[in-house]
Amino acid sequence: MNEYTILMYLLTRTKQIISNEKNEIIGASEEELCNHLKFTGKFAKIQLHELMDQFSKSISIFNLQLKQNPFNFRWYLTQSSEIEEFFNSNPFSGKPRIAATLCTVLSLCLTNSGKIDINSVQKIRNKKDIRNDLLELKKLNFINIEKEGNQVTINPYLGYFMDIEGFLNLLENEIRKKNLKKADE
Amino acid sequence: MSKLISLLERISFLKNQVLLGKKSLLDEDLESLFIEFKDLISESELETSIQIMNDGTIILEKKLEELRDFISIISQKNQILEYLKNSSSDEAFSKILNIIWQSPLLLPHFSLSFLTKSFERLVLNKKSSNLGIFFKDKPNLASPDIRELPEIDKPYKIKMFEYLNSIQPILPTTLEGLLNKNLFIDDYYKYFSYILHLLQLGYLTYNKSSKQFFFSENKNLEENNNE
Repeated sequence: MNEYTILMYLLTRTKQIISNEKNEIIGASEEELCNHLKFTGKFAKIQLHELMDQFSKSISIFNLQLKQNPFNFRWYLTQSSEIEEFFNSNPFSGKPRIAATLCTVLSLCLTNSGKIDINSVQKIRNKKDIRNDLLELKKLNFINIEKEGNQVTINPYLGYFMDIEGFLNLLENEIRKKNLKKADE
Repeated sequence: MSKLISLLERISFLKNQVLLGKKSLLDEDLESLFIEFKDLISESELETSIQIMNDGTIILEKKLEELRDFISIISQKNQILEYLKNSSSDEAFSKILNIIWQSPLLLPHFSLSFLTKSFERLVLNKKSSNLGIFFKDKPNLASPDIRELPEIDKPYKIKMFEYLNSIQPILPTTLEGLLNKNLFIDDYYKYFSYILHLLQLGYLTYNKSSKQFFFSENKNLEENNNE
């Protein structure tokens, strides 16, 4: 095996979830990558990033991108939007209500140090009951609901599927557009 | 290499990664680097120390910039709450998710046993290892007709059309409808390759908006089956 094979194997690594027999992406942390590639010492991370730079260029011809999950800092590979569209991977197509609940939970978590009250989601969503939405999101492994109490947190697993920076930028743009419209009125 | 030069290399690497946008400094532990620098600084290596200070200042400036952006997002809390409450329909959020949704590359079947099996089939079980036979004739460099099947044997073609016959009753359907994820790995890839060939040959069509596969009525299946 060469270094690229090891990278490919580690970055696409999954673990099987026994409860639903699904394979879920886990990718690899920088420490795991260094250990498997036998990069040691103070320059280990530099060696790793140099290798990842070259690797990233090589896989770009296959429309693949090397990314880091912002919630748990693990590295993984993503496919281009075209390939994704073909495989229809967005689990919210045809379910705008669940998509809206996820966006609300994520926005609230990002602006409230990570943990939020179910009632605050309910209040903002202005729906009769959002518990089923939350349970569906929990089933998809995108959020955690605390057994005791009424608290919701984001599961780092969501970071593999959502471009969080892109989400914040889009949200900011929408707010800016709205403010400009208000000012014009 | 002195310890100070080694520190300089690490700091300048970090600076480059940050300037290229490949690394965020929000969670980067800069304190330990600066403590290390404070302990190593010496008059004899003044030039290296100045270089480190130079890179360090750029890194600090970037960190402050990132912190400012982060605080700006946090301080927009009320605006975000107001936007979530009043402005958007569920569909608008659905559209946002469509733009920023990505799928990680999963290779659950890229296992060692799968690779070993492929290796045995493709390499070990080859009857001849004499590569010379492949180069007796000049290679044909003419561009291939993309509507033609690439070098496939007749049994493959027959199996492919049998597969098309078997899926016809469930068409139109999505890829998930055609490929059950619980299929045995060999079958999964076999059917997937049939679908790709059938698309290429025009027996199947794919509609991007509905994400469904359709049977092409203008293709004569019987004719091809009997070829």
